[in-house]
Amino acid sequence: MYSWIWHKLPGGLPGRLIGSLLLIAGTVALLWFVVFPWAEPILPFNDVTVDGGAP
Amino acid sequence: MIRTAIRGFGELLITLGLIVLLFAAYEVYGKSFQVNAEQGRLDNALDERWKVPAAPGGAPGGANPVADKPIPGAGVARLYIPRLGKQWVVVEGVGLKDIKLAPGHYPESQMPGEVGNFAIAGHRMPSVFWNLDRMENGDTIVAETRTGWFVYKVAKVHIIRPSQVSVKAANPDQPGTRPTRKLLTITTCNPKWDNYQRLVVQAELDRAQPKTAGRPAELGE
Repeated sequence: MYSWIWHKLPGGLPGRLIGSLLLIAGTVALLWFVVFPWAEPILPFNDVTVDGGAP
Repeated sequence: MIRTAIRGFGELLITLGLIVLLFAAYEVYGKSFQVNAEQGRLDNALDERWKVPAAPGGAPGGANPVADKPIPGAGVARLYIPRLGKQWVVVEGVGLKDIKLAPGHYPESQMPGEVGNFAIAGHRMPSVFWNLDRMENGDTIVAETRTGWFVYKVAKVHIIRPSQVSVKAANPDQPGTRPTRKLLTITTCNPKWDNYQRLVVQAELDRAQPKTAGRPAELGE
């Protein structure tokens, strides 16, 4: 998968490096600002109260 | 062909691992920005709310039962912990939404300065109660309401199971009986990164002073 992307990127070595960095930055930004804020309330990591029965 | 498939599968697993790591980083650090923004907003809202005068006929800076009635999700008090170098606006309620970006006050518990227990829950994240385990007996915790400052001294730092609800009772030593002491209790997750225990800091009121007397010396400035 990654080698396939690497070979598809244009512009020789410099172009491929820049392209890879842009792809990585885009993916991280998408996860950080869109996917994680959406997924976070669904996941059960945030229960800090003492209330007996709550899961 | 098989080699390509196996390699693709391996890359997929590595990618999933990286995403999980990134999510862990988000859980801890990504929230700080949001919390700080929300605290600034709550701070301003609380200042606005606290501008109301005392009840008619009451002393200046005195109680106002209407204005002091807590609104779910809105700020009820400020909390200062000098040892951690932090302060927050505490909101009313401990639902997931209430305490997403601020510590929350257990609605059934008392308010600062009252006989009983001012009980607070907050997340174990860097912008909230991350280093709460560093608290030691005798440390100062200050609560600020519209009418006064309440200086508490830490009496007990302990770790409990999530089912031990008595820590937020008005009289934690003997739940159900009439309280005699003025306590402040903070509950948060323990250990860091997980939530199968609760870290509890219990403090007792040392002294109170009206707003007109200025900031308590413990807070500096």
